[in-house]
Amino acid sequence: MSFNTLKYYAQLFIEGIFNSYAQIYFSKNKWLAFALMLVAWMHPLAGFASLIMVVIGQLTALFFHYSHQEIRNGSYTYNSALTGMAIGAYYQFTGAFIVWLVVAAILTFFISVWFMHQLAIKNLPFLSIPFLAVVWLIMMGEKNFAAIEPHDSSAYLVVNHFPLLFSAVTEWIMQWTIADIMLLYFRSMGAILFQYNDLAGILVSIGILIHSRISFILSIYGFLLGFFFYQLMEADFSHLIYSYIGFNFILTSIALGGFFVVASRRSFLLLLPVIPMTAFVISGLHGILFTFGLPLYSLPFNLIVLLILYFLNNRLHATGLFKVPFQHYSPELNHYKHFLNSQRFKSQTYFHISLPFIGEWRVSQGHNGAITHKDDYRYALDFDVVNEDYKTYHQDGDKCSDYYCFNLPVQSPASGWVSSVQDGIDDNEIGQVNLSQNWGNTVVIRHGDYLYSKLSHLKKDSIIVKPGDYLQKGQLIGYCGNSGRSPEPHLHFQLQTYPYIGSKTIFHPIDYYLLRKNNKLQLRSFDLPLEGELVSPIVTTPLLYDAFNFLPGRVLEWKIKKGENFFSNKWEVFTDSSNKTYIYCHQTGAIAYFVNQGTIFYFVDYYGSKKSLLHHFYKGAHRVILGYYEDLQIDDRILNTDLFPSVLNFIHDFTAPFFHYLLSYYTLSFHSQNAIHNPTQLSFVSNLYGKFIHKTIINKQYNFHLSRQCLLSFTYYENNQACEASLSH
Amino acid sequence: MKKKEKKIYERPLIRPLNASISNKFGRRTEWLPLTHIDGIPVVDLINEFGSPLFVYSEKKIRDNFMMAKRAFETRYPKIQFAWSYKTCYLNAVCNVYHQMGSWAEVVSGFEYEKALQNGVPGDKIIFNGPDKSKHDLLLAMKNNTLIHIDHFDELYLLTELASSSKSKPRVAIRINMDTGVYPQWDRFGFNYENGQAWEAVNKILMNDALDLVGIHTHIGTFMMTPSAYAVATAKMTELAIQIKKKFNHIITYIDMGGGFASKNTLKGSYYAGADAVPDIGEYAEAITSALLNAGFDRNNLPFLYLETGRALVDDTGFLLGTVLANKRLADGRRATILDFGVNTLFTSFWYDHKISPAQEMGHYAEETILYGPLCMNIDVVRDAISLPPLKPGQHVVAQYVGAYNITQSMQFITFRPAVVMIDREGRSHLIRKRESLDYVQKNEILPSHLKKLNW
Repeated sequence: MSFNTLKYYAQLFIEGIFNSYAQIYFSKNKWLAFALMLVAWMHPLAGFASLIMVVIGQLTALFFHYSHQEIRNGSYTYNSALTGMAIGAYYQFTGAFIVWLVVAAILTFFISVWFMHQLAIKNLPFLSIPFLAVVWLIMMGEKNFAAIEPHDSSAYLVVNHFPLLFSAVTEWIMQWTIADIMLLYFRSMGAILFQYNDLAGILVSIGILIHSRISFILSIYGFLLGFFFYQLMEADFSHLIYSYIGFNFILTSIALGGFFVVASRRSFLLLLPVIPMTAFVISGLHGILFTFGLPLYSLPFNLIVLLILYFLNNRLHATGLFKVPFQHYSPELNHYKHFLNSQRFKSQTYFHISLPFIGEWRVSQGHNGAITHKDDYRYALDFDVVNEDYKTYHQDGDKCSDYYCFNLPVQSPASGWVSSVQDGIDDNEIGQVNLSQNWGNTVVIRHGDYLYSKLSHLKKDSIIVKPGDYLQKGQLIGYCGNSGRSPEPHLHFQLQTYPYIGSKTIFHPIDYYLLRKNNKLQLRSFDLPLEGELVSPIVTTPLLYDAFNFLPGRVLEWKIKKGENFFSNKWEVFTDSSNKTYIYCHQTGAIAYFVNQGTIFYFVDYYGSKKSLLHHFYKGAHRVILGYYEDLQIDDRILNTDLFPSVLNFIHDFTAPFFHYLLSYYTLSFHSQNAIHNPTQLSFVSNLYGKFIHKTIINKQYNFHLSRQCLLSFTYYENNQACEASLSH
Repeated sequence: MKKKEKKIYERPLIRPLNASISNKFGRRTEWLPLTHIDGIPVVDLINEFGSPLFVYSEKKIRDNFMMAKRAFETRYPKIQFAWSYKTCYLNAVCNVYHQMGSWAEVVSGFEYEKALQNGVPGDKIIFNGPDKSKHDLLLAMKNNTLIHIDHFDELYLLTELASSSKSKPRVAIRINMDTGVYPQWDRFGFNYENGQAWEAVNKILMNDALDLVGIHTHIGTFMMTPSAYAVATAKMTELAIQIKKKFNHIITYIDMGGGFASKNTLKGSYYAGADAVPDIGEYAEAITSALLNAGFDRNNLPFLYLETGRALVDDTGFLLGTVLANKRLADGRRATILDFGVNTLFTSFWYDHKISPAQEMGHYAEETILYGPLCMNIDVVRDAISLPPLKPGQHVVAQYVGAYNITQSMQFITFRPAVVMIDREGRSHLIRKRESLDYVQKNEILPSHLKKLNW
């Protein structure tokens, strides 16, 4: 085994161990993991047993060739960490115990895998169900293993005198006071790790605070909700006080308030009924389990979270409360990314479908149109061409050829296979409709599984494609006509899940297009053209297209000039296993994910040092249109963390679910070019604005220059020093 | 009570009875009056600015241009129009086109300076034509203007100038070719079929002194067959692709020139222009489908430049005139003398202009010959037109006169008339004053020994 392999496995193990602890609180934060391990080791046996279980779980996973990524994430082993702590805190440490522990560890891993995969089918997390299964098995069966004996846990507690001290204070206060509630909160926090003392709770709380402000707020919110519900109902407080079962409220609150669901006012509202539901489960199941001598542990949390997620998964329209589509292991990132992406893309999951024509057309009937876009056909678009007075024809308008859109080329909106063609239907006379062949001459194109586009009312005998043909985006398919249910020439465009002419429509936006409003162009991304709007596809400029054409495998060597000093930087373009392209910086290891569909280049994610050149590039070229448009300004948003100092972000996180007072904007506008057509030199400026409500408090400017000699170069400021980076050959 | 309109008195006509159909459109008469231009009465215009008078409609100019632009831009993504100065270089007219994004296409040093003075940036001017002086070329190079080379001598001169200066002028070559129409235009540019064009391309690209950015053709004028453009475009794209293949050099634009027909009726044409002339969309279809089917890289399509003049401006111009007198010729035909003749309406040498009365007339028309005011036998505006009996002092409007009349009408015997433009709000603007004696004599120099007249 070479040194590098050894290093790889060491890293894999250590990261896996840390994440196994952090994951208990839905995190991958190293500091939180550290705090949690510290707390676990307050009871050295519990700490040790849990570590052993994690390591054995990892070894088993490795031995049976399970995903290294999941091992690194600690997904298989966070239940082992919990189980280890529970067992370690209960039983005496003997040789037999170790053997028993090893078996339990392997079992926990197996059960974790089973639950993980079974629940993943239903798009649900497996939470700490494996832990419950194993711990209950052990507790019910321990009588049969004489060699395994429970011990007097307090003897091993390092800080066992702390709770006594606090308890004395507690008893001093007759009624519930704030201090008292706080105490109970801290104990509940510690109880997740089976540490029923305040110091553990405080440590965990600090860890949570460092990891996530939203989680911290949620933990308090959930706890208080549960607490006050108990008080209101005059419930048996012993549940809370003696078994500190209140942590179920905290975990449920974090899970549903910001981890699985995007943190927002609505997610906080959701918790209002959900936390009392957790209380129902606690009191309802407490009695049953008590008869078997089993503690509730995290059962209420598991049941409620699964129930609510299942419920959310099965809504008809997943709006209002948003489930986190891609887990960032941080409620902050989940929250900010969600709101950023909803503003940047409307939706990220759509396929790239462009406008199926050349030049500027008008939407003559939009979605849910008053004429024919109804019911199953409500998500269709009709287009025609108008003059300055919004007239669709010249001369008398009594023949098809008088209409501006008649006989204009119609092209494929995306690449795909022609699945059906209908041609040979006569173009109607103006005002007549053909209801028996209502779609007229039509082409249906298959773009992917269950995604077809349909273009209808084409001119008779103008279709030049046949079923089975592969089409590139923008390839000519036929000409706009007036066949079918079409009283005057227009193009009908819809997306559908089935390949038939006449299938019902589905909602799908157009990827990028230009909208002309008051004679000014605006860029629209993944948006839907509305009725009456004038829209046109983007025309690319070769220089811009080439400069941002980062094909996988391309190596970018940068020369950076900072004052009198010169540096260099090497990037490389890669594609990951899910077909996402990213730029990797060899110097800093930073990674920036980008998308380039041919007309727009934009960044989606950045991981790594905020001081690298790649981060500047990520900010400055956040969204670039690959066609030169003199008066067009590109607007975009960027993550607050990319722009504001971390202290401001830290404070902002506390209120982020409710409102944002720090806002980050991006704009790009073209500056100049040396030749209008096919320029060999071109420049644009991008600006980042960090705003406190409306007042700009941070402004960063990037000047990009493109030329045929050196494709890309840009200037930026670092510590008030002007820097210039240019691509070398 | 509404004042009763006075009945029009027209003198009686005697006409042979023609019971059979003379042609399938029936007898064409021009009794339908044109009383207003863009809402302004013709009489008011003449009262204010005099007669004869050229009138341009800004709204019509803009509408026509936008329609042509739309016809091309909805068929091909990269379009650029350049206003053909020689068609009408009144500054007001040029600037309407420039405001709409049209560049300038000039064919002489004079037109080039005019375009620059109008505020067109040098790199948005296309310099065509066989007549470019050394001075013109140097100026064009300095301004980064697109120079379209017409012949080898110009190519050699420009190469020499470029080599001695540091700049690399942006050039295109003008190409002529057989597109299947007669007569074939072969006097401008380099011939495609005999290899001259390819030779010129090789000479430019082997030498590196000039930057070959485009190729240009202009297949003829008043072309009635769009298919000729399809043939021409196919040949041009073929050349561009050959250039890419041999030199790995990308041609940025293909300039298809102009030559689209206007609604005018050519002399000797059987059909009236409005019925026979193809729609601008048909030309667009022919050119753009040849471009799209040529096999260019989709992300690097060449621009299509168009230098359409006549088709855009012809029907935006009107010539208003007044009847001077009527007379009977020896053969019994009626003749009407107008206050404008071939000196003003130069295009009446080519077209049977549509000339309408400017006031309500009766429906009874008589074969008439329209003479101009010149004391010259050639001054015939229409040799046969069926018009109602016009009286001296009544007005007529000649239509489709926007192209080539302002630029080619001559100061002969009398002054050239004023030009008015009616803007989109219906306001009239004097854009060229009627000539005066001072203006005409301004450049005359009378030698001193001839100053004194000894009567």
